[in-house]
Amino acid sequence: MVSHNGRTVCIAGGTRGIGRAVAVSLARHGYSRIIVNYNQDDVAAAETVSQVEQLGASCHAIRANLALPLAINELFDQVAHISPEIDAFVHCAALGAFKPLSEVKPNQWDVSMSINARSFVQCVQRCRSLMHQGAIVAISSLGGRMALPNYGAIGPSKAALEASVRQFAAELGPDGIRVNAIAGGFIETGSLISMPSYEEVKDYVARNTPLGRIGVPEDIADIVAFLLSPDAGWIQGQVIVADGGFSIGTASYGA
Amino acid sequence: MTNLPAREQIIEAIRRAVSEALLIPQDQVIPSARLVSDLKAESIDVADIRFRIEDGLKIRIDQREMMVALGENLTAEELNNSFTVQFVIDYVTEKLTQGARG
Repeated sequence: MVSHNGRTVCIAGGTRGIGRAVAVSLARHGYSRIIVNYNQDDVAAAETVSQVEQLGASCHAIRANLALPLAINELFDQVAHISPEIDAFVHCAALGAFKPLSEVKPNQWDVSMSINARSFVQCVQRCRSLMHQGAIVAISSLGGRMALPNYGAIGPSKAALEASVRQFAAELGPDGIRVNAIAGGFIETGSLISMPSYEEVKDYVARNTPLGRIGVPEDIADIVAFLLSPDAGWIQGQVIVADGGFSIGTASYGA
Repeated sequence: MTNLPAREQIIEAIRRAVSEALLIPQDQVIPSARLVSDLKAESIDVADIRFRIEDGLKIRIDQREMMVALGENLTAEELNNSFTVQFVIDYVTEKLTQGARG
């Protein structure tokens, strides 16, 4: 039986993949009110609400296209209406084209940047009036620090996301707000299926990961719960790499 | 009751969205042009075009619903052939008309 603690979290991109796993994990960790944002999939949103409510927390799904600044303003107006104060914000929303940087078109760069980085900045700016103390986590990826095949649009946007996390950590830390990120490795979600050579990449990553498998959304969700908790109270402005050890470079060991 | 934009305004907004997203002249965005096969739109471009139309015409477009409207049980080739600028114009016009009725 989950004991609820009266805390409220808002999750941008919170109804599928890692975002849904975060919503469910935070309900298990005792959050009482979970507000999830989504853009497209009403069915996935309803399923997430159901899963969270089964754990005894209340859950509100709000549709807002994070590519549009006005929609973000409207989202946070609705969040404020549901809860005048929030304790935590998690940014899981992501969109991008899997292709080399040499082939990324201007609009594709802009879409990736607007969803993956700019929306985080605007969401945190809006969170400020709702959050007096608390914690913020952004979901990044290894592509923010490593050159990865076909990560030409997403990688640079994740680097911008991570730089924004550090900047906010410095600016908001004095007000008691912690801001951190998690750089996940290859996490099996529906959004990766469109990646070129998906099965081959997945197999390569699993073979070259010391822990012997690819990641699942729950691997990341549990770290989000930790980073939002008082146990992580001295962690500020950091990007925690969670990839089963893939990025430490053991490929040459010939797993 | 919501004011419904004139059909010319809808067509103009859609042609501008496609032209600006794909960086192609508006005169190439003709009704019969297929977004994927002729105009070389990738999936992220389709999302971008949708965002621009949603922003420009203040409507919500559900991408899954739009794909269903193209026709169910179509082959990839049939889907590409049906996904034309004209289809988008008709789909958006119908959505706006429904909204105005609602």
